[in-house]
Amino acid sequence: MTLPRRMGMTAGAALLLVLAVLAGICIGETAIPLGTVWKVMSNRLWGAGHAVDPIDGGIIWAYRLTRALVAGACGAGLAVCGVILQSLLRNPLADPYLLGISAGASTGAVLVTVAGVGAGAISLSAGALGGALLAFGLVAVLAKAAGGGAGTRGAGQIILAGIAGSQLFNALTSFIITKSASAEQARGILFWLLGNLSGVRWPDVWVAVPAAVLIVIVAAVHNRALDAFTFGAESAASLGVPVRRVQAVLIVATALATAVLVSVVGSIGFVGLVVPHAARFVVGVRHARLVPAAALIGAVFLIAVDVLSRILVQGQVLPIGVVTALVGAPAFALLLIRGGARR
Amino acid sequence: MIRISGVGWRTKGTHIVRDVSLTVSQGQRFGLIGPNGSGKSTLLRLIAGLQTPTSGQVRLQGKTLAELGRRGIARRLAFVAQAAETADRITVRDAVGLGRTPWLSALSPWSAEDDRIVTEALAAVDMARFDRRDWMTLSGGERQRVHIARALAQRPQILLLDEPANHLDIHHQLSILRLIGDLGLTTMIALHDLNQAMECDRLGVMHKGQLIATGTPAEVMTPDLLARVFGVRIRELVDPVDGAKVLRFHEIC
Ligand SMILES: Nc1ncnc2c1ncn2[C@@H]1O[C@H](COP(=O)(O)OP(=O)(O)OP(=O)(O)O)[C@@H](O)[C@H]1O
Ligand SMILES: [Mg+2]
Repeated sequence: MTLPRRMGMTAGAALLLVLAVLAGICIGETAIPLGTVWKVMSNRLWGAGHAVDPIDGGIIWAYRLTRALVAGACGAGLAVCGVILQSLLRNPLADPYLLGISAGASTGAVLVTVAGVGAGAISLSAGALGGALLAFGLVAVLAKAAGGGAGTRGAGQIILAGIAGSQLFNALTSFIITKSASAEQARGILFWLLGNLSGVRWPDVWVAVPAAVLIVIVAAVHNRALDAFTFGAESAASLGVPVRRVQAVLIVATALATAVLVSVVGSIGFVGLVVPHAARFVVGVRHARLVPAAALIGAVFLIAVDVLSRILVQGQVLPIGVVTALVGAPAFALLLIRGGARR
Repeated sequence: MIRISGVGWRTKGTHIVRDVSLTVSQGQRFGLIGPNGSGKSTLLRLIAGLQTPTSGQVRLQGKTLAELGRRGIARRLAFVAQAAETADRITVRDAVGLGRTPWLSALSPWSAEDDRIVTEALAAVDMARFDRRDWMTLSGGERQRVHIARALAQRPQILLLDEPANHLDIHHQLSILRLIGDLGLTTMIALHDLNQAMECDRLGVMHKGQLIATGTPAEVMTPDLLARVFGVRIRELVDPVDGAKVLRFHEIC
């Protein structure tokens, strides 16, 4: 790609992201005019000193902007994690939760909120992060013990270990809920598990955005290595890729990023599985283009879905994980059909 | 140059390859023959560094595989495996472009030179017309030729091929083998067609994990040895046009 063309694409992507965030700010139960958004943003960013309604200011800055930023970060981060795992493990069904992370996070969250572990000193997010990392650690140890490592066989072992770990932690979660949760608590947990952006504030932005940016950078740095896995791990090795190191670095990075994102917003499904495929339909399988495309599509998609989840049912916010699948599945079906026709 | 000494690989107590020593000198075409399961592929993978020998050592141009490192090996040696598949919708051109991987880095990104090398590699295997096609739409022989093109795009000095003529029609069998000959690279090639093996500079015979004979085709292809290794009786015919020997095979009853 020529330099001017690449700069054009980057500018276009940035513009699209800004537009999505603006839409996330303006649209909601009360619509906010763009003019007001502009005034609040310029007050905040460079102290322009416009007169604005403090309530509008609060909604825009503390509520809707943070929400849109976290949604964008999660969308981009999960989509790129999906790209990495699908390419590395040579499995189109791989998603970021494959490594037991979402199951572990739910166990951690339930332990904190229902079983009262930590006696209130540990937040739900911290519990979820702890559970996610513990589950991934277990899956990694199991995969290694089962002979996973370099080679295509290693990929199979990681997937199977992930399934075993997920089942175990899901069972633990159900066990704790049925043993000690009230119906109200169970509902709250279910809501959290399906993804929830309502409590998001600035501290969450400072956790989610760096996690997403880091995983996108890690993936971009490894784009050629990921390409080399096209014909399997052994072929990658014969092309000079240090397979074991690349697998270890990428899987650990993916697990950490996913665990952090899940601890902030719960396990939003669908994005990490399907956005990578949608991105492949649009830009092809080479990672130099696939990684940025998946990040952009994931971010814009999740911001848009968050807006929908707020306005779809009057006076009620739907769990975002429900809406991602409700909106995303038909959209993806359309892409599949068109992609099939093109062939 | 390939020099291997005392190389072996064992797993779960059985020796798959045992104590193989041999030298393939610069520019030589070395053919590896032997029955199914005799260890040809394993030996090639050991030389390519895809498997670590449990004993012995492999040297490429005087350096051990450990000294060269993964990237160093890939810059000197290209390996065409017996079967490598993908479900990705990658184009033929991009698949061949993967061969440039060991030469690319952040400091030396893809350049027009890389494009030229890929175009040349595609032309060499007679796949230039296919460069925009999806991998999934190719026939078995076309896929094999793309794999060979990818190996050529690596610009190696050493080429290892595991039954490269599999899937190829007779015309492409001959043209690929001629191409490999014309390249003048140090080549090691596992073959099943003994008549094709006759065209190699030197042959090695694998039998139950051991290299039991090496030498020129005339030295190696003796009735005794073929009877012992493959369980067949041979008859040599002479082509009246150029006087070349042609082998015919019969089962030993
Ligand atoms: N990882 C492994 N574990 C156990 N046995 C193995 C392993 N790899 C190879 N073998 C065995 O080693 C033997 C040699 O295999 P190899 O693939 O090298 O044979 P080959 O000479 O290439 O045969 P073919 O002509 O069928 O390609 C076979 O019997 C195979 O089953
Ligand atoms: Mg073989």
